[in-house]
Formats: sequence, structure tokens, C-alpha cells
Amino acid sequence: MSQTALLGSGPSSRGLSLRRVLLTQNLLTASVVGTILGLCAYWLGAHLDTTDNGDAGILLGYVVGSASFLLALGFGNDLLRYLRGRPVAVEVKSTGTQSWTRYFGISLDHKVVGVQFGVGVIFMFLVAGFQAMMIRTELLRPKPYLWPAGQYTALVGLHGLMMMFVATLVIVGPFGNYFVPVMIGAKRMAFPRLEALAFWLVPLAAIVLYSSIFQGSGGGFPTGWTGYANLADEARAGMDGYIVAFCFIGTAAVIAGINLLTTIFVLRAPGMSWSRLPIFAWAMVAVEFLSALAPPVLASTLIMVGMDRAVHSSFFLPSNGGSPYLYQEMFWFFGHPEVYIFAIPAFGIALEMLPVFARKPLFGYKIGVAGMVGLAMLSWFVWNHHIFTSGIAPGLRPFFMTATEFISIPTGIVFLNMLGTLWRAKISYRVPMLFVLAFFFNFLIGGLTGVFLSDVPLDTTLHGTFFVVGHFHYTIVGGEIFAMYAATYYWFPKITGKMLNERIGQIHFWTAFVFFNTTFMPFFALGFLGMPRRVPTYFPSLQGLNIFISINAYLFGLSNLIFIGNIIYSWAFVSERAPANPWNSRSLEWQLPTPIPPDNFERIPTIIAGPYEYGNPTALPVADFGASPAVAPSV
Amino acid sequence: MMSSPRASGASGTYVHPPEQLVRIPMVGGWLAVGADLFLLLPWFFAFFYLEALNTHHDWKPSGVHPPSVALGTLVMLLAVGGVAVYFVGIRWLLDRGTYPRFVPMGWTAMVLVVASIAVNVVQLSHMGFGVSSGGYASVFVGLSVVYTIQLGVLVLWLLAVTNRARYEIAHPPVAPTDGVALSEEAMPLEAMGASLRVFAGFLGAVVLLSWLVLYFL
Repeated sequence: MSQTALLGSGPSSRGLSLRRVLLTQNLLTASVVGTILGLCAYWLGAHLDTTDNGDAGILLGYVVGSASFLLALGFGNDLLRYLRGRPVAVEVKSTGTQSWTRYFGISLDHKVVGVQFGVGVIFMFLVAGFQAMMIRTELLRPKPYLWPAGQYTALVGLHGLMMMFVATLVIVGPFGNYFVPVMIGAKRMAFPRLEALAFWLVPLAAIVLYSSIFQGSGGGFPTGWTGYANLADEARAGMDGYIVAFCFIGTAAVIAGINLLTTIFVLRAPGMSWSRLPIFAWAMVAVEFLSALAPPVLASTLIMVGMDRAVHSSFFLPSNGGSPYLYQEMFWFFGHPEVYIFAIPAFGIALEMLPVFARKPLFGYKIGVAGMVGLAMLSWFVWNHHIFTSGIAPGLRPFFMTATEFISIPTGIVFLNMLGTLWRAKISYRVPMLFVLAFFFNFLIGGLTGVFLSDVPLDTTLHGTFFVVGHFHYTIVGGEIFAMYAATYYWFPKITGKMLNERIGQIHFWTAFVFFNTTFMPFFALGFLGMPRRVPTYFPSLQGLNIFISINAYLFGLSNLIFIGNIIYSWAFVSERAPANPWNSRSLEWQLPTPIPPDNFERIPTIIAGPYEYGNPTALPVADFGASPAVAPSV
Repeated sequence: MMSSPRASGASGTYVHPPEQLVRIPMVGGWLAVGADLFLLLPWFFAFFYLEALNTHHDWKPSGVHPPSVALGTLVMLLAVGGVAVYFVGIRWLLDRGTYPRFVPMGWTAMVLVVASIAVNVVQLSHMGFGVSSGGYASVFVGLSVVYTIQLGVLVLWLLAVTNRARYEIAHPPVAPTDGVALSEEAMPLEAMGASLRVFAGFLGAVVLLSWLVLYFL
């Protein structure tokens, strides 16, 4: 068994039914079929729609077009086999060479899906980042001069929602899917077809979202990323794109959550006890419970908005028995756990890498696990702090204020884990470690400003200002995106067999860290000075500060181009191969050859020691690989 | 249909052992039910929230009453009956391995659930009020459509399990050979059926609860 791969009975291996209908199943065919059938459904829906706004046609077009795309791509093949009662196997077969074309179709190999996620999410990050530059350009002057106020609001909404998509998936998608099965000693994901489906919903969501630009006069949606009813009920046709795209991303998150959880619960190698589980996998456990349970609430809420728009139900219209507060309650019941869907994977990345570069065991492993699980649990009880100013019952405010402030306890525990690991360590300041330390600094500021906002009197003053914008950019960009940078530099050699250039990486780090802070730190000042978010008009006295921010935002954007340039240069133009374990890590994925074989392990390993026993000369190797030892385990 | 790995659970096996793999659909099924619970909760929350607010007295404006209780009860009885029949069938299958006795039970369960969907479609088309007739009308239509779609998913899953049982009857499993297994084959019928039992039971409870809430509260 040399080169082997996980293959299914799916799109390429068994020519059943759909293949006979369509000549081939590939991305091009699927795109054509999806577009044509989507337009037909739109036409049909528009003709059947008895209301005057055409929303039913648009929603039908999106759903039918997307479903047709997925079926034409090959997702229907195995489904038909299941329905006919035929066994559908995940088989280990010899495949020989691996073609690059596997990245453009359905793959049952979690590593291929991980790369698909990585490339897709980075592309979406660049698009939404470009929109951020457009926003900053508009804010160079205190009155609208590039776009009318309505289009500016749509631009802010598109940027916000696309970045929410990115933040939901930027660590779980690429690194969770790629590395978690390997880290726990599994040969595959529990549900490989669902994993592929989770990925393909993402480009569909992005396309649907951006198609909203072409819907209705002015295009886009006027609500910002939160889509508040009843503005959403009354918004132009672009709101339908918001509804469908957000539902797709929610579905992708649920599927990924169920899949990763089942994989971790069931497919751990012998000896991989819960107390030996890598801390990154523990972060995935904590976050995937949120991912599996929170987005369905959003999906139902958005279906209600869609019903209000398309068939004139009245969930959120107070003139007809509904209530816009209902939307806010349900949206933020999803929305606050969503914040920890962003944050906890970043904690996992930081805690996973710190022992490697500090060459010390992870300080307080079990307490750190408890901290992340505690964060995930507490995140269900704080949602009302987002609507302190919306008119909630005053008696509820102290409870939600206190619950929110309790969040700082498990967060503080995780920070203590990090500090304890760094204490008296001989730190190796390689690029991944620099980004982890930057994450540490940035998230601290993001977290502390969050404590400010949980306080009712202060929140009443700062709600809807740039202070809030600064807070969540510090946690999401300064926290999660910096952790994504760290993870990319750390795991790139294992994915591609090439090291990312260290010198370019250092330039990327310093430009990103400095210009991120010079961009977003002044947001707090703007907030205190009363500059509202989502509005292109501000006091002329704030123009100087806004110009300073915009220039630094451009430079921060440039640092991201350095990052992309480093990836392209190191991957495509450097011929030198990376060592199999360049960081001397004990974690299981680094004990395997590069690239990792398609079925990960020739034989399932037995785990015999924990992954963080650095500096212990008597520590056992992390695993017994049976007859096929790979790279020599390091201590 | 499961090939025998060399030494299940021991170090150095080429594939994941069968006792690990049969847990996949069950764990996945429970997690899916958890996600489904959170999908359905907002509809019940909307019911009680809007009823409590009764904005402009438009929760149930004059002339809006719950539609035919008889039809609603029939929908519930057919769906719950289908689930009950499946429970009996899958218990025979899991306890005694009697595939031939399971198949008619699977078909019967499917027919009952399909009938429940059909009656619910009739109910939704003769409600006596429109979807825009206040808060109650919106929640009634929304919740009914959502659980009816899920009953459709249940029918498909029942179809898959029942057809799989038929396939197993026609193609009896081959005894494991002494050779080293290099492939993981398909999920056993028992694991699929047990997983479906979790979902079916949950959905039966949802239909029952919806019936109580929508028709009697």
C-alpha cells in the first residue's frame, strides 16, 4: 500500500444515473446547469408571485439554482444510491498520482477539502478587505463624495457580512478539516461527503451574496450585517440574497460542526484519551458545539424574514401582530455564540503553538480546556447585552451585564495558560510565534473593551459608535485573523512541503501588527467622540483622525498583499523542500511524512504519550506507528 | 457488510475497527437532532413571544381560529403512528436480526408518514385564514411547513433504510476471510436504523408538541 486515497462511490468512481443524464459532472457543467435552472425558477416564481415585490421568484431562483448546482456537481449520486438501499463505501484504494483537478470537484479527502476551504476563504477575505478600503476611502471626507449614503450602507453591509462568513470558517474550514483527523490519529472524517458539501456551500453563499448587488434599485441591502427587522422586511430585493447566503453559511457551519464533533468523538486512535487530545482539537470540540447549535436558530429567523417578505406573513411587523424585538432576540441568541465561534479556534491555535516555540509543556492543560468549554457554555447566556439600548425590560439588564462580565473569567484562565507557558521559557521568535504573541496583545485589548461594553451605562453611551467597531475588529481581526496568519506560517510546510519565506514573513508581521493597531486603536477615540457607525457623514472636526486611520488601513491592506505574495512566492517559486518537522513539534501531524499520505496513516497509530511534553528528556514518543514509522519523533 | 479488520481496536490496524465505525451514525444522529432542536425552538419561541405581546390585538384578529382540529389530529396520529411502527420494526431488526419482518414495517411506516404529509397539505390549503392574518397565522403556517418538510426527510431516510434491508436480504453478507482487510465498507444497516430511530423519535415528539401548541393553546 503505497499511495492510497479515500475514494467514494461518488461522482467519479461509479457512473450512475445523473452521469447518464449529464455528460460529465464538473464545475463548469454544474455552473451552467445551476445558472439556467436558477433563472428558470426565478421566472416561474416571479410569474406565480401574487405580491408586487418579486421576492418569491428571487428566493426560489436562488434555492433551485444552488440545489441544481450541487446535484450537477455530483452530490446526488451517492444520495440516490442511499435511497435505493445500495451500500455506499468509503474505500481505501490505490490512486497513483494526485491531479490538481481534484481541488475543483467533490473530494472525500479531508486534506483536499481543507485546502479548498483555505483558498476559498482567503479569496473572500481579500474581496471583503478591498471593500474595507472602499469604506475608508469614503470616510476620507466628512460628507458622502464617492457613493450616495444608501450605497455606502450597502457597502458596509456587504463588507460586514462577507467578513462574518470568513471569520466563521477561516480556522475551522482550512485547519480544522485538514489537521484535526490527523492530530487524533484518524484516517478520515466521519462524514466525508458532508464535509465536501460544507465547502461547496461556501462559494455558493459568496456568489448569492454578491448577486444581491444587482437586485433592486441601488443594489445590496440596507441593514448592515445584522439584518434587523422590520427594515429587512421592507428592504429592496437585495435582502433576499442576504437571507439565502447567510442560511447557506449557517448550514455549512452546522454540517462542519456535526462532522468534526463526530470525528473527534468516534475516530480517535487507541490511546488518544481526552487528556491527551491536542488542545486545538479541544478548541474544535468547544466551538463545534456552538457551530452545530447556534446557526439553526439564525436559519429559522431568516426563514421568518423570508416569509414576511415573500408571502407577507407578520412575524416582525408590529402593524400586523408581529414584533421587531422578536428578531433581535433570536438573532442575538445566535449572534453571541457566533462571536465565540470566531474566538475559541484562535485560542486553540495559540495554545497549540505556544509550547512548541516555548519548548515547555502547556501550562494548565486541563484548566485551559475547562476555560474554553466554559466560554462556549457561557456564550449562550449573554445575548441581551447586544440589545441593552433597544428597550429591553430594565430588570433584565443586571443579569445580562453580570453574565457578560463572567465571560472574562474563562477568558482570563486561557490567558493565564498562555502566560504560564511563556514564563521563564526560551522562546523561539519565529514568524508563527510572533503572530501568536501579537494575537495575545490584540485580543487582550479586544477583550478589555468588551468588558466596557458589557457595562450598561457605558454601553448606553457607546452603542452604535466606532468604539464598538474598534472592539470587534480587535477581537476578530486582531484575534482570529492574526491566529490564522500564525496557523498558516506554522502548518504551511506540512500542507505544501515548502517553508514560507521567513524574511518576508517578518516584514508581513511587523507591517500587519503596527498598521493594524494604528488603524483600529483610534476607533476607540472616534467612538468616545461620538462618531456613529454605518453612516458616511461625521463631524468635520474628526476628519484629521479619519484621514490618519484611512492611510493606516491602506498600509494594513498592503501587509495582507505581502502575506499573499509570500504564499505564492514560497509555494510556486521556491524549489527547496521543507523538513518534515521544521518546528520540532511533538504533535501527531508532524510525525508524518510530507505531504501527508491520502489516507493519513498506513496503520492506525497507538498514542503512548501526550503532545506537550517538551523539555522532558525521558518523555516517550507521542505514538507507536506500528510497522510504518514516519519521521523520528522529537522531544 | 463490514469487512473484518486484522485486529479490531489494536495498534496497527489498517482500517478503523467496526465497533468504532458503527458509532458514527449514532453520534452524528444525536448531534443532528440537537441541531434540529435549535432549528425548531425559534418557532415555538415566536409562538409564545407574539402571543404574549399580542401587538395591536393582532395575535388572533377576529375571525382567525385554529383550523380543523380533526384534520390536525389526523396529521399528528398518522405521523406518530408511522414513527411507532418504525420503532417496532427496528426493534425486531436490532434484537433479532429479522430483516424480512422489518421490510413491511418500514413500508407501513413510510405510508403513514406520507399520508400525514398529504393531510397536512390539505389542512394548509383550507385553513380559513391567510398567512398574513396576524401572528398566530404566521406561526401556524411557518411551523407546519417546517415540520412537514422534516417529515419529508423522514420518508426519504425510511426509504433508504427499508431498501437497504431489502438489499441485505438479496445479498447476504459474506463471512470475513482470514486476509488482512484493506477497505472499510458501507455502514451496517443496524447502525443506520438505530440512528434513524433517534431522528424519528424526536420528530414524532415535535409533531405531537406542535399539535398541542397550535391547536389547543
